[in-house]
Amino acid sequence: MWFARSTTALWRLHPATNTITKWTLPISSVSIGSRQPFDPSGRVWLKYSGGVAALNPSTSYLTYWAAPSGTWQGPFAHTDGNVWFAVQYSGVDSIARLNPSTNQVTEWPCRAGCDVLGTVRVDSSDKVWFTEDGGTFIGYVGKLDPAASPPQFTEWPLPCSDVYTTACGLGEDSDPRGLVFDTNGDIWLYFADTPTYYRVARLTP
Amino acid sequence: MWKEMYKLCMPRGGWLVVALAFVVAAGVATPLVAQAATVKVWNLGARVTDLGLGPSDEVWTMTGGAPRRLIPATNEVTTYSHPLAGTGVLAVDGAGKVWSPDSFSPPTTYVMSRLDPTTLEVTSWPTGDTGAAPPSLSTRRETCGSPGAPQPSGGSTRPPTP
Repeated sequence: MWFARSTTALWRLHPATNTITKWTLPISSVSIGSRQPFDPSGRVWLKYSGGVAALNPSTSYLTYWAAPSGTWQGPFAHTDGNVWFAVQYSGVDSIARLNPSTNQVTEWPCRAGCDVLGTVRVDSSDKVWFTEDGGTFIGYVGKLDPAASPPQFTEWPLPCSDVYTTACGLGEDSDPRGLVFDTNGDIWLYFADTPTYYRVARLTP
Repeated sequence: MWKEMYKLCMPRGGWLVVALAFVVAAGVATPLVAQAATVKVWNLGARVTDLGLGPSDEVWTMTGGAPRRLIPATNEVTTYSHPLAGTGVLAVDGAGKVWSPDSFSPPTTYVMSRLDPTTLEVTSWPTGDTGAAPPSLSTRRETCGSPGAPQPSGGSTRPPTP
């Protein structure tokens, strides 16, 4: 079990041996930004206040990448070694991929007005899934196919209340979170804003 | 219920912080395609603050400060009384056990707890730390490096790039 605090510490608990390892990191606002933070080399990927970072627990070496602009959210460590994350800007947000071997970051801007939240997942066919806050409008689950020519975004609207409407009522916002795949490939979500925050949903794309 | 025996496995070696430059490739403007989808919604009756799936696709939520399990096929919902799940986040491991952090006081002690939904046993490990509860967690099956193992002889995870 790995866990992080919103300060500078990362922990690993090994329940079989009752062993706890704590790393105090030279970066701040550390969190495990994804339920899949482990890359093929065994590094743990983290989000911090300035970008993303990777800790090698065997050596305690920490490598971090600073975001030149925007706020990096995620990160999701793909089995191919690349790391995916969402980039939040004051303008158009984007989905981005970091190749840690070359330090190259590639960004795919979302549509105008999209508001990408911090959850990013990559499925078994290398499609990148994310959630979008709706503000006072409905939220979305989004999918990026980076290999398509041209690369293509697809969005699925989510209800802010019991009925689908373009604009939610006052104070309503579906604000979808979670984004977990089940064994059928369906997507599970919960909602972080009123009045939907009593609810979980299963999206069958 | 409590396992208060634990030891700290200290990190080996020192920090090697490698600050790296990188290249931002050209962005790609893309079209938007909206598609219809099937959305099924369950109302769990209290505020949901986190969600995870168990090994049999059972849906675990932290709902109203307690772990709650939804079986989608039957709509069965089970809420577990859990004294140490106060931070509203959870993770489900490969054995179907549900992890959640909390702080316990007095004195304020930081704990990580594991619920076995089959036996209802809650096992908690104090972390030896105090303060605010952790906001994020993840599970992985692995072993801890043995304390006192030889330190790495140096080197870098990769060469710094100007």
